[in-house]
Amino acid sequence: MKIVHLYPDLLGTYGDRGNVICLAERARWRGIDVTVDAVERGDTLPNDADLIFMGGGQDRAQELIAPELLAMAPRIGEAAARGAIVFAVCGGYQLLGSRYDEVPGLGLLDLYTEAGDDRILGNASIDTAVAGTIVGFENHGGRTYLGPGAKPLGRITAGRGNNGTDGTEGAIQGNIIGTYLHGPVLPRNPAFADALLALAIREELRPIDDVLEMAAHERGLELARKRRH
Amino acid sequence: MSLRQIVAARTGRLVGAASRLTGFGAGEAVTGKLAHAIDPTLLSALASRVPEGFVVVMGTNGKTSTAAMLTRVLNAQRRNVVTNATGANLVGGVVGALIKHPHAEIGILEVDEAAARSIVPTLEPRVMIWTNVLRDQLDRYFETDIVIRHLENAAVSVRGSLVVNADDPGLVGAAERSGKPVVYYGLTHARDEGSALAADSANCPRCGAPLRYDARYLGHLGRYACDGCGWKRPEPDVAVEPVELRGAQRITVRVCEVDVTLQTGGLGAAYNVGATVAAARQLGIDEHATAKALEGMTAVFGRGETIGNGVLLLMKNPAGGNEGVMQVLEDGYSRILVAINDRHADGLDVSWLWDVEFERLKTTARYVVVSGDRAQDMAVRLKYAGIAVDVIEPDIKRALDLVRAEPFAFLATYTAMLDARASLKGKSERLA
Ligand SMILES: [Zn+2]
Repeated sequence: MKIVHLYPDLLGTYGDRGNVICLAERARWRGIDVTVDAVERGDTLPNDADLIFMGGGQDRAQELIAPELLAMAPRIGEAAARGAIVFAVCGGYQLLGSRYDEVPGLGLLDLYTEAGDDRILGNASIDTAVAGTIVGFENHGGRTYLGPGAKPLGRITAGRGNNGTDGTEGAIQGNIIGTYLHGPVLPRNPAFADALLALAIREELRPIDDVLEMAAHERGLELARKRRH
Repeated sequence: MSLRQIVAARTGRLVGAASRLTGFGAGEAVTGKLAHAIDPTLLSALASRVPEGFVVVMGTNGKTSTAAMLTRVLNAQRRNVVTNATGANLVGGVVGALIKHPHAEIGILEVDEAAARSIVPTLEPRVMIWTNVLRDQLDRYFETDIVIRHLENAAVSVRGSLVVNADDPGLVGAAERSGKPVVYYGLTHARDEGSALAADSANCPRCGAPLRYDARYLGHLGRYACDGCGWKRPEPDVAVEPVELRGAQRITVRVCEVDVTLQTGGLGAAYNVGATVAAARQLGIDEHATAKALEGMTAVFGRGETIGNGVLLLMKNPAGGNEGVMQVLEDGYSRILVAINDRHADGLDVSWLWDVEFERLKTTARYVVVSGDRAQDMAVRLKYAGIAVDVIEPDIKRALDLVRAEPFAFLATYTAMLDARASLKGKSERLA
């Protein structure tokens, strides 16, 4: 399978590459041949991607890359329509929406984001249909609201989620999935990683040893429950 | 000083002494915090009593070490120096240090970027050192761009010069915008295989184009140029040439044709020597005197410090972690203990562990223990780096007991390092 990592240099503020490492290793441990292509500034999107990953960057980095990403949006959309999985976290998730305040996004997810008064920050957990409980760390100033075309990835069980008011977290629309649980969300949520892999290659995956991953998952759940706001 | 200021200072001092006795926190910072709360004008009154003014050290990594180096140089000149040596770099720590040293002639103060606004304008520093701006505790500072803005704002009240790391393009951009006189220091070369991860300022501060690197030492630190507009790394006024720069316990650098050997490791130490030589010059001290004072200096808190069989490497952020990993690799340690906490001083978010290239330790690691509040996350990180974890022991004391019989490398976040040092020092003193 081919994993494409969009702009790891600019969109990777919080260890986002952990997701790509996690997906690639978990596929390899099952004997699947994996290549990882990094798309940097000036590159074109490979047309044989099975999974496209996009992380979050600093404001200035996202501004820098926005024109190129916007131009690439139709090709990302075509890849998803052809069956590729598009997975984005944090800033990348916001970019997939129609806009952040007045700044246009890629328009691939039916959602928009507005700047909030404070920062949503801390350990969080959500309940999802795709992968059960997912734990992570949220750290964003935006408030994201889903339109009718997108479904939430999950319901917040601890933390504040998309906007701190409606209990939703993340979004799914066809093969495009986004979440505010930022940075390396997949290594602590092996079921989520495997769900994405299985969707990307359209095959069931055999179980592997997840003792360490689940210990980190449980720890994350404990931390999320302890969070005060 | 007004009566209120005297009362504030005295009350603070009493509480600070009590806090030292009872073992709660560093006394100075407690003294200062309380005194500042009683009278917020105290900082200004105390600062005005320091006749030769202040050197302020700011930046992500290397503040404590650089301040310690410059203090050592001034002490060798028999100057009475006030410094916040315990790393107490918020307003309380600064006020506390000034209360404790009423007869100081000059101040060398490290100042937290986010706290600078309430400290630096009062100090009107004669020299301000910028070490680097690296990704650090993003749950607290959010973005390195914001930190750079804090530095630029702090520069406004500098009366003399900025001393700036020429190898950090983000800092150079900010220094140019400040309009202040700038003295640059930088490395002539370094290991070339440095990690390119967590490179935050890899874009030209003038035109935004990606910078081209001829050499990359660590993160975005290196020798860079912009093909877009021709902007490039300024030639350093103080060039540091690494003579021996490997491992965690010893480096030799040549600065202005003078050699300095330190009993500490890492690229960071080499940079700190450059910053110290450049700042000392601004204070009228030449490089020969500076080099002589620095010769043989040992590591400060967790920067290649050795206690018993352990070499201690503080890992606060990806850059520090990648530097620590390189030192462990160069020294060939096969026993490795990594301790990760997520308390306030460490940062609540441990995502950055994935920006440290632990993969590099695959060839050397033979016995690996992970510890701390987030031992489980660290174990996962190592698993995906292809490194087998032998034991997960969240309790740091017990984890140390597993490794300490033979030489080992200890990589740890700030509070994990505090815990480990207390435990190791206790044991080695009892044995002695
Ligand atoms: Zn340029």
